[in-house]
Amino acid sequence: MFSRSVLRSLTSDLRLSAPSISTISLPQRACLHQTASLRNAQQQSQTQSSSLNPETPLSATPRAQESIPETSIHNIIPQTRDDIPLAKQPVAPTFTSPLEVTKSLMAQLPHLVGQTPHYVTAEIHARPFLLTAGDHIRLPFLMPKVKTGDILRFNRASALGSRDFTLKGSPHIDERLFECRVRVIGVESEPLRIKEKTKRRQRHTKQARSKHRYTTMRVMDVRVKSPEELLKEGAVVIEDAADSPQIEARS
Amino acid sequence: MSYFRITLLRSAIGLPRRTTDVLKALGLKKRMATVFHPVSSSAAGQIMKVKELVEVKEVENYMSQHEVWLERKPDPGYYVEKTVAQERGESLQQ
Repeated sequence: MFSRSVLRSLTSDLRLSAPSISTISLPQRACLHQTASLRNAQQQSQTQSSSLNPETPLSATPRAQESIPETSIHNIIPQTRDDIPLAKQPVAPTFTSPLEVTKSLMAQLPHLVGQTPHYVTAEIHARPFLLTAGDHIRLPFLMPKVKTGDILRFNRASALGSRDFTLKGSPHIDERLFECRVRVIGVESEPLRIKEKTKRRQRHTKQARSKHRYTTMRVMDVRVKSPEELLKEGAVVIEDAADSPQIEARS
Repeated sequence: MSYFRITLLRSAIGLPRRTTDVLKALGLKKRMATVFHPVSSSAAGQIMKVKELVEVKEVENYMSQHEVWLERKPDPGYYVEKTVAQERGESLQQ
């Protein structure tokens, strides 16, 4: 009996002490959140003041490449599961070094550019999609933060080619070598699926319903940039290396 | 300070109890799980006990579970170039 009462008093002590800990830690958390939100607000105000056309309404979707604040791109340190670096987010890339093209690729590229139509093996979340201009795609998922009519750019390609030539990446082609634009057509949904869930020794059956939605898109254009265009955009011609990408002709 | 980056490639099912316990001590619960331990003789000894099941690399920095996961996360492969609102604004300006 004695031990039980001792235990009870101990537990009551613990109970008393536990909320106090939480009350101490809570304001700190709140402070952190506040500072984070403040910082975000400051950044937003900075970008607003520095943006070229302040009369346009502020939209939640990311603007063109130059309006992304430089400070927020490199200062993210992943801490929680929601923190994803910008390189792994669907954000327009910023380049620090010019595109490097080998001499042999420069020489072979006109053959590929001259032969239309082109195809591209674009990788969306590491899944390959073989695309040509005019194709309709139904993605196997609902793409977030995208509306009907938006224009997307696909920037990860593992192969780029025409009827007779293929440029293969190792494992990816530099995104400045081509343009692949896609317009979001809308959202498709599958017919409602009902799965009956039964348990043993029970007359009741549970119904699990699922109706997934998928984003549909149309490929607007697949274009390979010509050598002149690449040079105009500041590409640098370098000597050939062993692992440099090369255009392969169909055998 | 360098670390052992240990990944469990093969499970210890059907192996002696001792092996399972060593894996548990290392913090490896399931296949393809990755843990980091500072380089020390005790960690090396534990790895030696289960060397047939794990892959070990010596790395400079410790990585959190989230960072290990981010390593494997593929690029999205797309970005929004122009939204409908932007396009409409451009057409209105012209």
